[in-house]
Amino acid sequence: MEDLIAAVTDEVGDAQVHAVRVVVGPRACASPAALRFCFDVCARGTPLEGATLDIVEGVGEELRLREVEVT
Amino acid sequence: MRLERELLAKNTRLAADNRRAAARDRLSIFNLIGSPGAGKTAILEALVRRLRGEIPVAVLEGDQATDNDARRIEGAGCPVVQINTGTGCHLDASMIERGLAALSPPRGSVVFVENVGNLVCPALFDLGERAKIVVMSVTEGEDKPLKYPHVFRAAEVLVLTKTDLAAHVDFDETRCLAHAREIAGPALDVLRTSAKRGEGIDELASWIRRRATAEIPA
Repeated sequence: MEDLIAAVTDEVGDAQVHAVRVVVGPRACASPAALRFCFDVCARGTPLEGATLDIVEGVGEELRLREVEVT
Repeated sequence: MRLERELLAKNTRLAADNRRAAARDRLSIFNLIGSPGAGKTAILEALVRRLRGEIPVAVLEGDQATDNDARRIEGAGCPVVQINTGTGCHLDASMIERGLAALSPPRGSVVFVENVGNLVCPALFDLGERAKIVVMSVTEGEDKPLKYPHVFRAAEVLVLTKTDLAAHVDFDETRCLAHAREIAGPALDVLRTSAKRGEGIDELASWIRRRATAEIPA
């Protein structure tokens, strides 16, 4: 989760984030349910606070930050 | 903004860094992977006792919680650092980097990493090790290699443990080894051990010594 948040802020800096789309494959060792659960908590106090997390199913081991929408 | 940025790429990068640092410091890192209760810690206790007089040995212990395993390794007589992952199901390269910094093993050390008990995720996370060792007990069933093929393919050696219990659980060793070779190919080494009886530990120590002193590929 920290990697996801850092990856977003690396790209957009301080800009307020509206939505994040992540691709998670079935063998990525990251469960979408766990990601959703953690996201709101971990995003607090960061530019991702309040953003929507959209999880798209991927293939194999992929775990990728696909898209970021900034306001 | 479309990014397509790999989130696991960071682990791959850090693992490569760990591998370079290990080559520079002449450390041989071995990643022990096995189900919870497979006998990883017991094998390490025996191996540490066997090797510590000859070569510097150190251990990084991975568990969700407690330092129980680190205490056992301390009892076996080598430096050890416990890594607790909390909810994490596997060790990753950044944990190993921090663990090695805390451990500070001398040049030429063999460093054993006991991964979190899990046959699934550790196969996916390169730590920068010299080799993966899959640890499996006779109580786990002959078809284990078929059910968890990824870790058996990724390992260089299968350490079969608790052979003293084989008769009690009707374990068919021939079938198990056939499955393992079917999945992993003929290059997979297999070592049979019983930590309780002290059997197979010399052979495992020899395997470690040979692998640790082998040429590091450029």
